[in-house]
Amino acid sequence: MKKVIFLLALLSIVVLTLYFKSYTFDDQSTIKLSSKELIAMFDSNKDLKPMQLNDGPILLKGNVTAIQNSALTLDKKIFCKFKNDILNINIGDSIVLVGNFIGYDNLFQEFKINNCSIVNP
Amino acid sequence: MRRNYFNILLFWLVLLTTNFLNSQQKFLTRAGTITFDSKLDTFVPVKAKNNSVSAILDLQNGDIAVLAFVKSFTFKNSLMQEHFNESYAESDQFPKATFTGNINNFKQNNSDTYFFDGTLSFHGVQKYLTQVPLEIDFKDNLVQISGEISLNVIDFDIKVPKIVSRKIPKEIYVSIDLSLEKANK
Repeated sequence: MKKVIFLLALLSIVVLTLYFKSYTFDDQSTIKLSSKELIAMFDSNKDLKPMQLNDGPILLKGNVTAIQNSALTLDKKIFCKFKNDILNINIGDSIVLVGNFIGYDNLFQEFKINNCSIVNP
Repeated sequence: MRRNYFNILLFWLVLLTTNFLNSQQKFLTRAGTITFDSKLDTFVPVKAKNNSVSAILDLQNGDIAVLAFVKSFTFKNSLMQEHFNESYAESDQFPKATFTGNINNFKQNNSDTYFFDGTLSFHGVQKYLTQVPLEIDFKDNLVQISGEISLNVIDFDIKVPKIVSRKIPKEIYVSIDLSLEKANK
């Protein structure tokens, strides 16, 4: 019985260590850039996603130019959708947010970022 | 000289008025919903939802354009979502699904069932659809559009390995739900 408990405890430690290691790795792989840098990445082709923008989250800095309930626009070109309504952010604020880059929306001629949350209000 | 200034002013006034009138006719959303569902009684339902769909409707002629990013479809089962993106929809190669065409005999402020003709583009395949029924409701300065269509997986060049072919539905029901508001500019 003691052996089983010991093995279970050991297994839990291994699983937790691996989980936190992968979490830290993901955090380090987050790309940090400004809205101007993001826009410049697509200068040559709006539909060609650069290699640097993988499916992980990106940290983005920019100026708020529009706000609608649970979404805001950075520098008139980047549409950021939040999970919840946006509070305590005003047009003209400089903010940093984290979210998943989706792509270039040809209909609205803007970039789309989903699952956003504010890093510094 | 004064006449030249007057002409330039008149030109800009006409341009601005035309733009204003055009924008008055456009209704749009960036947060529309598209859901697809196999409607089969399986242990893990083949069902996904995308609630960041873009759409623009021109009230003057009934032209409509809808755009959905394939990676924005979320499944309850994350492994199923991964397989959908990597093996079936190949969303890195074909990131967008679009739906463009015209709503036949479209009349402003007349809530009714209308029929859509147009092209659905998904996975690099363009399929022309006719007489797709859409419920359109004009309410409180919004235009609500909803509808459902069944599509065959085989029509979109999706390769299903034989080993899992029993688990992958042959028919998928795609429903759309848009709440469009007047364009600001």
